[in-house]
This record gives sequence, structure tokens and C-alpha cells, in this order.
Amino acid sequence: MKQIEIKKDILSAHEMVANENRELFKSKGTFVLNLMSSPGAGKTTLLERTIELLKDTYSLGVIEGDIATSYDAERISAHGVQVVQINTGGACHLDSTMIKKALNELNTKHLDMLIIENVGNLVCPAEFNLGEDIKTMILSVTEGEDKPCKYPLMFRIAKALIINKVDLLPYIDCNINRIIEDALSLNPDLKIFEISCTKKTGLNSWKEWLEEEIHTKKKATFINE
Amino acid sequence: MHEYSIAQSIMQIVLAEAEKANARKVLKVSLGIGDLAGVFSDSLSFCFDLLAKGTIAEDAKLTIEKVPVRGHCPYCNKTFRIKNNLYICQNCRNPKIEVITGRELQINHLEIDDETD
Repeated sequence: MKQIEIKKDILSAHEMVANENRELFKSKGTFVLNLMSSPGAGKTTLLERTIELLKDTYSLGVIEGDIATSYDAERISAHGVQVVQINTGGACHLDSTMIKKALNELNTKHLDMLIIENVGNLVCPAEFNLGEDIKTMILSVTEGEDKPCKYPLMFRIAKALIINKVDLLPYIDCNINRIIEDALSLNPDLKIFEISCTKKTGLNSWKEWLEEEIHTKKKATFINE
Repeated sequence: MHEYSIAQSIMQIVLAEAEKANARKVLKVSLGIGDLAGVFSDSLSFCFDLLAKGTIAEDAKLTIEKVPVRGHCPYCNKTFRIKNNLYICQNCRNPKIEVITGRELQINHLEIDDETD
């Protein structure tokens, strides 16, 4: 019998591919957002609102991750934006290899922003880097105020949190201040947006934040050239 | 449910390392899994056993060492355990701390039967 030291990250193979994706995005100056939430929090609707606000100024692309169907890709495609649907066939998250493959179907030449809509799930997607610049999550107020404490990793790794469906607050038992307090105690640098995608409120500061990130990425690429 | 993907990645590394070491059999696989990693140990063991069938790791025992979440405060230079999702310095209450352990997903070591036995 022999013992061998390994000391190796289990996800190192995924991490290598994520870095390849990251290098590609860096060379193109494309800002990449990994959008995560539980099912039904409003990822696709937020995407639609975001596309409406930005598509006249920027070149946008979307990768849709779902276990099955192309419903989301059809919704995005109706807005005239290029979109690739990934069906994971059961897997609860996207990984960097799926993104690398999807990039073959996407024209990344003059892409200002790529949004990756992850599979609806508050646990597994948090563990897998895709090569994105920023992880953003949505929590809708109907999911309840206890979610930051129940899913700490997701709230730790996100750079921005969108609290969606705030128009429903008068009708439900949810203390939004507790969401904000708990999320900030997990992650003091978290940028928080309070939004209603159906009533179209709070979207302007989200849009401005995205524009800033797009420009920062562009500038970094330009300086490196 | 991502335990299956993680078990697949473990199996790839285990089989590659075992081959490198001329193993006839893998007896034990030791993992370090952080408390903040969203991994359910029972599911991981179940998936590992499933994937190990028919390989030299078929009878391997999977041991999982849980790594607690620990933080370091850059202001007062203290290191402490983080409990109940309280991500602030336990000494000076500074909220801008670094999380130093707790996200591990690591293979620590293997025990093998090699050909020289």
C-alpha cells in the first residue's frame, strides 16, 4: 500500500477552460455577465428589459442555459439579439466547456456584452466559473427574505444582486430590508438594485451600472493593445 | 445535484493519478470539502461509487474532511472561524474580511496498491 499526495482542485479542469474563455473575451473586449437565480425569479424578463434598454447602443449576445426547451432563446431572439440555447439535458448548472462550445455558434467579433443566463438554481451554478467578468444574481421578493442566509455561497460570490418583483411587496409577507441587511453582511461590497421588470421600475441604475462595466472592459482591452 | 459533475471530475483525476503511480487498485480517496462549498457529502459518495464501478477504484473508500469557513482581518491581522454567516472580524468587527478557507473542493491524497507490492 502506498499513499500519494495529490493536493489538486477537483474542478481544475473546468477552471482551465474557464480561463481560456476569459482570455477570448479579454481579447475581444467583451464584458461577460453570468446571471443566476432560482427558477422563476425573472432572469429572462430582466434580460428582455436589459436588451430593450441597451440594444440600440451596444452589440449584445445571449447564451441561454436550460435543462430542456428553447422557450427562453425564442423570447430573446424576438428582440433581434443573437442567442445560443444550451440544453444541459438534466445538469443543474452550466460549466465552462458548455460555454466554450456555445461560443462556436456566436459571432463574438464586435460583441460589447455577452449575458449568460444560467440554469435556474441557487446552489450549483455558484461553484462553476465560466470565464465571466461578473456574477450577478436575482432574488425575487416572492421567494422570501430568508434566502441570503439559506444560500450563503451564492450571495458571497455575486458582485451584484437584483431584488426583483418589488411591485408585489404590498401584497406579500416579505421584509426587503432583511434581504438587504443579510446579503450585505455576507458580502459588504454587493451592489444592490431594487427592480420590477414587469412595471419597469428601478431599471435605470441597473442600465447605468452595466454601461460602466462595458466601458471598463473595453478600456482595459484598449490599454493592453 | 452538481455532486455528479464533481464526482466525474474526481474520478478523472483519481484514475489519471493512479495510472501515473502504476496502481493496481485504488484503496482510498481523501477529499477536503469546504463548508461553504455547496456539496452534500452523501450524494457525492453515492455518485462516486456509481462512477467507480468497473474501474480500479471500484472498492475505494471515499473519505471527506470538512474544512470550516475561516476569515482573516487585514486590519487587526486576526484569523478566526466564521459561524452563522457572520462575515465580520470577530475581534474588531471590521466587515471587510478575507475568507481564507471554506470553499475547498480538493483531492488531498490517494491510497493505492501498486505493482511492487
